Amino acid sequence: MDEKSQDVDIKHIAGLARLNLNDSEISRYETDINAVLTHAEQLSKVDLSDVSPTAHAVSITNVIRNDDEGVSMSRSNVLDNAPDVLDDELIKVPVVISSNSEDSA
Amino acid sequence: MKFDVIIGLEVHVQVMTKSKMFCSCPNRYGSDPNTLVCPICMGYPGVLPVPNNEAIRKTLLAGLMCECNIALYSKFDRKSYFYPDMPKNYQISQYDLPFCEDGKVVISGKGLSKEFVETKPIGITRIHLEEDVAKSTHFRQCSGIDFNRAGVPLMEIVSEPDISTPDEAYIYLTALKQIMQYADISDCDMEKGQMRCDVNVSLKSPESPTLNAKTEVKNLNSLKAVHRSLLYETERQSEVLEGNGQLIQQTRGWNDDIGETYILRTKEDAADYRYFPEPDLMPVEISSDYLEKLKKEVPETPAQRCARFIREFAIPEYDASVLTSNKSCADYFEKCISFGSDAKKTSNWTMVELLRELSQANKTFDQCPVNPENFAELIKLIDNKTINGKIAKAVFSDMFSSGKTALEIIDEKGLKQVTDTDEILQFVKKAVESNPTPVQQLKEGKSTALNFLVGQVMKFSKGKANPQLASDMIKKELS
Ligand SMILES: [Zn+2]
Repeated sequence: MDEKSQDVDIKHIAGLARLNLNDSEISRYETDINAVLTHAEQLSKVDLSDVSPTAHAVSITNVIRNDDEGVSMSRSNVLDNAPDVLDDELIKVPVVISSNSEDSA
Repeated sequence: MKFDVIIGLEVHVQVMTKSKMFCSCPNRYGSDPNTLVCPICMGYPGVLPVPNNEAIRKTLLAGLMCECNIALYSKFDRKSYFYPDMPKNYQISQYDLPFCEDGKVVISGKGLSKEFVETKPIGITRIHLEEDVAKSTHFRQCSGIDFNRAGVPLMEIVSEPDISTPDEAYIYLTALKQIMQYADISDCDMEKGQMRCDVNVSLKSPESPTLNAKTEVKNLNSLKAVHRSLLYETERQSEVLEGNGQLIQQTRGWNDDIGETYILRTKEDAADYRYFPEPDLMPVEISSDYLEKLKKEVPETPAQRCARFIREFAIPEYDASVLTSNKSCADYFEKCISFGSDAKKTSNWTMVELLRELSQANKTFDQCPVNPENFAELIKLIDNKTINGKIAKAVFSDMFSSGKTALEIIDEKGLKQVTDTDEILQFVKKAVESNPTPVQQLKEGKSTALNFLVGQVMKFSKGKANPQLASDMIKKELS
């Protein structure tokens, strides 16, 4: 189990999940994650040549809906759940980028 | 040193539907902020998204229009990242099994610089379906988020790196836009963010087989910005390479005000999206029956319609390409023809008079105050010589501003062309008597004098005389 530990960069993984871990937490997660990886390693040794691939654990497809318009929440309800509000209409968040760019995705 | 330029485009197109991608909130632009949201598109814990059938149908249609292979088995994946525009910290997208793959869009025509680009196929790598994110507005001290856009169905159309110039990129985007509009998939109004573009640019020296590191420029919100940013990036990268510098792979933003790109992040801190299959959504299977049915629904592409206009209406290629470049223009034109107006004349009148009035009034074809039936009638009135071309232009302006029909205006203002020879003869006699010098010149064979005399007849008749008839009668009078 321990031979895998140097492959896992817990700090990097924690960073991706926006988690701030102390040293003892890092070593604990190192053990846990390595256990998960070892388990996955074992699974990958199973002979699956007769099994067709799937994208989901449940074998159901096409759970879809018709394009019907429904009713949205009231704005006051939406903004009640926000940590902070701008002009009673926008959700206020800290500045993320300082450029004039508008969106991320 | 001259470099080869290699450009690939990632184009985001909002799909026109009644409701959002995974919830039933209305998919509508321009509503008050945060009024079209629900627990699903706000990403509250414990909610269950359900895909919109119509968004999938239109994505498949887009794929068929772009000659893609349609995946009979497809799924959604989670793309993880942290940003306030996506509060559940992942976007539902598609990773390895997109709906459409391996297509092409054939481009040709004039680019933004008016340079002509020869016919060239641009490969489409894939078209996948995802959810749009919220709209952020940045202020000095904070940002404000409006979730109305979050969850709107969004297609991402990824091209092969087949594009070599900013003009080709411009034409490709125009072609995509036309395709989406033709199939009612999207209005692609870039000002409303319904079509957004990221570009990938890299340079290669013609002698070398390897590409230099590429730059991705994100969030280009107009065709012009795409063109300008590509020119800027090509220049910037050439300068680095010519100065023996090293390019590093990076993501840049575009500042439209100063016309420059700026660095957002380099490869080292590139996003790690950790895609994995979306457990809340079941895979989508497309039956071959459904696919066959869909293939029958695929509308004529702009290129096919252009070819048909040339064939069916015997109009020049230039006319056909102008008319079909905008779907509602092509619809309008075809409607006119169905009311029996002459094709070539209708084409001229549409391209010159109608387009001018529309652009002056800042109106679209759908808002045109003159309907195709009345427009066709006006052209028929020229053809059967009820009015001459010059008066027709004034009548048309009047129709456009008043909404009246051509016949109403002609009756009201007594503009009917005079074809009664006795009546015209009066004017001809008057023109001849009062203009001895031009009459003499005409007798000596100076043909410009004839134009002058016809002009006099037109003036006496207040523009209503048939000019051809007037010309014939002047010649007869003097012979
Ligand atoms: Zn919603």
